[in-house]
Amino acid sequence: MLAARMIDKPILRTAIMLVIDSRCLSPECVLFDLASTISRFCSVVMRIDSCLPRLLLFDAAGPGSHHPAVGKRNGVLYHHDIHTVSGRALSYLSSINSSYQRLLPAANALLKEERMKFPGPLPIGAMFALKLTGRMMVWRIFPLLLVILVNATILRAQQLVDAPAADKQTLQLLLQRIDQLEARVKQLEGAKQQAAPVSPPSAPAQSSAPPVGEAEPQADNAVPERMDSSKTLLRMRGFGDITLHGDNQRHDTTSFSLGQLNLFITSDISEKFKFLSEIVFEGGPDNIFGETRGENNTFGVDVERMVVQYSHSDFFRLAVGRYHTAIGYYNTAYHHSTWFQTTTGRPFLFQFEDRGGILPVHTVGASASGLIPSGHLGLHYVAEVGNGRASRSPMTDEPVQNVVDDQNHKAFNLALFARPDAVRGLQVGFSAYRDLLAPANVPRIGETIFAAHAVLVRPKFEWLNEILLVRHAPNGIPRVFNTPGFYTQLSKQFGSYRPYFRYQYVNASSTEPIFPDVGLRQGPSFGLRYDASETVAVKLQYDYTALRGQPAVNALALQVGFTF
Amino acid sequence: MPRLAGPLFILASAVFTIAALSLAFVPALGRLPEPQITTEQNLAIVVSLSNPVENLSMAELRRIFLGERSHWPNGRRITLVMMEPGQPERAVVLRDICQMNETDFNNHFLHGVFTGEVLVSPKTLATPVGVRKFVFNVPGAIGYLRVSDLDSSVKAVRVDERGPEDKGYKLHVPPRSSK
Repeated sequence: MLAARMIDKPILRTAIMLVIDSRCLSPECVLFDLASTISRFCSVVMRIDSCLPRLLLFDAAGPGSHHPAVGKRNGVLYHHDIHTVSGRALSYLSSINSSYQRLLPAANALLKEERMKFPGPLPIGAMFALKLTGRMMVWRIFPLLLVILVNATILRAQQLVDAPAADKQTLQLLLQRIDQLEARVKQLEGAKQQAAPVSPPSAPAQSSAPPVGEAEPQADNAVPERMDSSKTLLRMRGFGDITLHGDNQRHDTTSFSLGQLNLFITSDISEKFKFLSEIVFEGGPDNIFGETRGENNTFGVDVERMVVQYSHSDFFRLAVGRYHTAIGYYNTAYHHSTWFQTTTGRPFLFQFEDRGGILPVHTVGASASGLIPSGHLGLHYVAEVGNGRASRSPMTDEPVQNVVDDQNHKAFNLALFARPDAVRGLQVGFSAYRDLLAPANVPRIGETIFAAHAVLVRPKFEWLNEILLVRHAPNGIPRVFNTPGFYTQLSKQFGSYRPYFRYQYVNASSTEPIFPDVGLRQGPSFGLRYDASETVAVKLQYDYTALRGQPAVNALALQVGFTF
Repeated sequence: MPRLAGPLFILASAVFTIAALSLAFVPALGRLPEPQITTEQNLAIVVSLSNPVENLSMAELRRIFLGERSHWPNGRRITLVMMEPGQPERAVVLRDICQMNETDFNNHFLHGVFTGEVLVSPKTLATPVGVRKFVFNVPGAIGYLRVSDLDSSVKAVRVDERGPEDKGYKLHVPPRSSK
C-alpha cells in the first residue's frame, strides 16, 4: 500500500483522501478515461514521480477551478502528482471500484466533519487518491505520461504567473490542518491495511513531504537510508575486455583473447556498513611464479574481492574480507578492470598472483583506514593484517589463502600517504609489508616489502611513479635477496585520445628463493588510448621487454575495454 | 616475414578500429556547459537545518562534492545531492567546485565506488524543489540551490566565510532561461 500524503494550496480548506487498491481496477480503462479527462481539465501543477505514476489526486472542482500557487516556495509542499479533474472521473472510479465503495462511508464522514469545522463553500468537494502499482507495464502508461507531462509543463507556467501571494498566517494554519489530515489519512490507511493482509510495498520514505515551519522535529521526521526490505539492495556494474595480442616469443601465437569479465557488486547494507565484491570470470591458465597451471582455453571464476566495510567516520573505516593489499598506489587504485586503466594491463610489479606477479596483491584479513587529522596535508593511513601469501604448499597452488592460513603467523601492512590540498591530484606515500613465509623443507623466509609512490592524477593528465623493494631473508642464512623494481607512467588526454608511455624495471636474483623465474625485466611501453564513448576504450600498445639471458620481447596488443 | 604478420595484423586492426570508431562516434564526452554570464544569481550550498556545519572552505566543498569526505563532524554520513546534467546549477558546481566536466565527474565517482573510497554516489534530482525536499528530509544531505529557491526548510552554509548574500561570494549561476 502506498503511503499517501497530501499537500495542497492555501485555499484548500479540507481534503479527503482515499487510497484505492489498484488490484480492483482495470488499469487500461482508468488510464484511458484519465488521459482524456486530464487533458481537458487539468489545471494545476503536476509532477511525475521518478518511474511510475504512483499517486494521482483528483478533486471535483471541475474545469473552472484553478489552484492558486502559494508562491515560488509552495513547491516544497507538493509531494506527489496532483491533478484537477472533473467529478466525472470520480463517479467513474466509484462505479468500478469496490475498494472505493468500501471506503466511501468513511470519506463522507470525514468530509462532513471538515465542513462543520470550516463552514462556507468548499472550493473542492473531495479529493481522492488512486494508486497505480508497478504491475502496470511502463509501455502501457507511457503515452499517458507523455500527455500529462506536456499539459503539466504548460499549466505549471501559467499557474506560477497567476499565483497570488499567500497570507503567511493562513498558510501556517492550513499547514497545521494538513498535518492533522495526514494523520487521519494514515489512520484510515492503517485500518485498511489491517483489513487486507497482503499489501503492496509502501512508498519511498524519502518522498515524504516536510512539515515546513516546524524546524525542531525535522531530525525525527527524517528517514535517511533506512533499510527498505522491498528495495533491491544490490547494485551491479560490469567490466570486460577483449584483446588481440601478439609477440615475437617462440611458441607464442597472435591471438584474440577474452580478458576478465568482472561483475562488480556493491550494496549499502546499512548507513554504516557496505558490501563490495568483484566476481571475475577469466580464461586461460594461471601463471604462478612462472609455473603454468590449467588449460589454455577454459574459463574459471574467482572472487577477487569480497569486503564488508564498516565506516564509522572519515577517520576510521574497517574492512574485512578479501581485498587488494595497500602496497604502493597502483594496487588499490586499479582493480580487475582494464577499462579504468590507461594502459592495456598492469605494470609487471603489480601483476596479479595468478598472472606471474611477485607481490601479495590480494590479502584475506582486516584493513583499517582513514584520515589523519593533518589539515591541508591530507594524511591518510592504512593498517592491515591478514593471512599473507601461501608458502608451505607447493608454489603452484592458489597463492591467496582464502580459507585456511598455512601457519599462525599473520602478515602485516602499514601504509601512509598524503593528498595535499595545495597540489590537486598529487598523492605521495609509502608502505611497509611484513610476512613470514614457511616453504616446505627449507628455512623460514622473512618477507619485507617496502614501497613508495608519488603520483599526480588529474582528469586529463597522469604521472605515476612507484618504486618497490622486496626483501627475502631466509632464517639462518646471512644472505638477503633484494628485488628492486619501479615503473613510471605518463599520459595526457587530447580530446578522446590519450597517448601514454610507461617504463618499468624489475631485477630479481636468479637464486631468489620465492620467484626465481623473474630475473631482470625492463623496457618501455608506448600506447594510445581512444575513448570511443564514455564506456568503451580502445587501446593500442607496444611493449619492449629486455630479459636477462634471453632475447628481448616485442609485443603488440589491441584491446577493447568497456564497462556496462 | 611470418613473424611480422602478427604485429602487422594487430596494427592494421588498430588503425581500422580507431578510424572507424572516430568516424562513427561523435565524441559525446562531457563538455562542461559554459554558464552564460548575464545577470547572475548566487548559488547557495544547502544542508539540513539539523546540520551544525555553518561554514565550509572551497577545498572542503571540493572534497565533499567529490566523495572524498563521507561523514560530517557530527558523524552523519554525507549524502550528496546533485541536479540533473544540463542544469546550470550543476554546471557551476562541476566547474567551480569539482573542476571537472561531466564525464570526468562520472568517471571519478565510478572509480571511487570501485575502489571503495567513495561510499555512495550522488543522488540526482531534477528540480530545486526536489533538492530542497531531499535536503530537508535527510539530515546528512548537502546540495545546492539558487538564492531565489531558498526557503526556511534548509540552511545555506557559508563558503570561505561568505554567505550567498555577501559580496565576494564565489559561486554564481546564470539566470534561468525563459522557456
